[in-house]
Amino acid sequence: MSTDLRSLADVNRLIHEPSRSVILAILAAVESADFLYLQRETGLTKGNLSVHLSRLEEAGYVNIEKTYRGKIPLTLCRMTDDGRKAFDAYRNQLKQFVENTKE
Amino acid sequence: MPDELKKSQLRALQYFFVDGTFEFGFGLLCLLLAAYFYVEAHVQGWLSAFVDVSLILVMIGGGYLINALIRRVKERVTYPRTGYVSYQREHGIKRGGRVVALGLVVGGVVGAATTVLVMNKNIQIAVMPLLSGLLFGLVMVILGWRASIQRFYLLALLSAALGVVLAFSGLENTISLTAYYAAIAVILLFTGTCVLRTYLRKNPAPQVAPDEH
Repeated sequence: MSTDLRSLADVNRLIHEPSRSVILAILAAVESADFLYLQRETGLTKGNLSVHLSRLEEAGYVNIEKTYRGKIPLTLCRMTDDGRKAFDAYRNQLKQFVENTKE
Repeated sequence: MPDELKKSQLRALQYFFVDGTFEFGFGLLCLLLAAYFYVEAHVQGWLSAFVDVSLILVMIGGGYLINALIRRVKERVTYPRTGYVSYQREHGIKRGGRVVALGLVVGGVVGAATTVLVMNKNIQIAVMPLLSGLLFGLVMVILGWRASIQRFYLLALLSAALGVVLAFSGLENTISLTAYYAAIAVILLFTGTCVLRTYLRKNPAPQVAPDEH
């Protein structure tokens, strides 16, 4: 197996799942986003999004805060420093692989 | 896949401008400035000196009130429909660097314009609307480039054109500034209304509480 392929095989599998990589990409660009925004952007069902967020939270990549805006419940999601480092590393691995691959 | 990630990130950055409240806020601030310059052009004596000094208060106070208004509108209109997003504020060297860079650009534009005017004494133009038009245009170009929103380029073009036309219109500085800010306020409020209408049509009010998972 070439070095490039091996680097792709070593990619963070938790982040490599398409829905979770989109969630992390959004959270990397902002300070925080609520559940509704993430649901609309990812196109996931509430249940699926909850599961993905829980997995990211368990890994320490995302911090979830349940609060209220007036009387409406609000679930705020933030990327942690560990999450940012892991996502940057994932992005670099992916970029390296794409750059070294012929079209 | 990386393209999809980039698009998601770009959409998150564009989200702040999705509902037209930015144009509304900026438009209201320009309307306030138009009213200020109108008053300044029509008062005399000690009142004139008082009005001159109060410009900073108008800008800070108006900016604060309009910011609060935008937040309120977003809380009532945008967040229940399409969700809440907050943005990182840059701190430290990065923010300082940008402020210095912006200061250099603004200083450069003002300096170049002043030099041209001083060297060509035959040119009789109102400098202030020209500078306002160019600076506002510059801000719009930067916003349009950062968030990749085309309508900001059009606003930049309109602002610069308006500044140039008013500069050579033969009106005195304060009157032409009033005209500039009133016109740009109308343009911004019109754009904001169009963007808000499109947004509301695409995103009807939710029937249930938005975040009840």
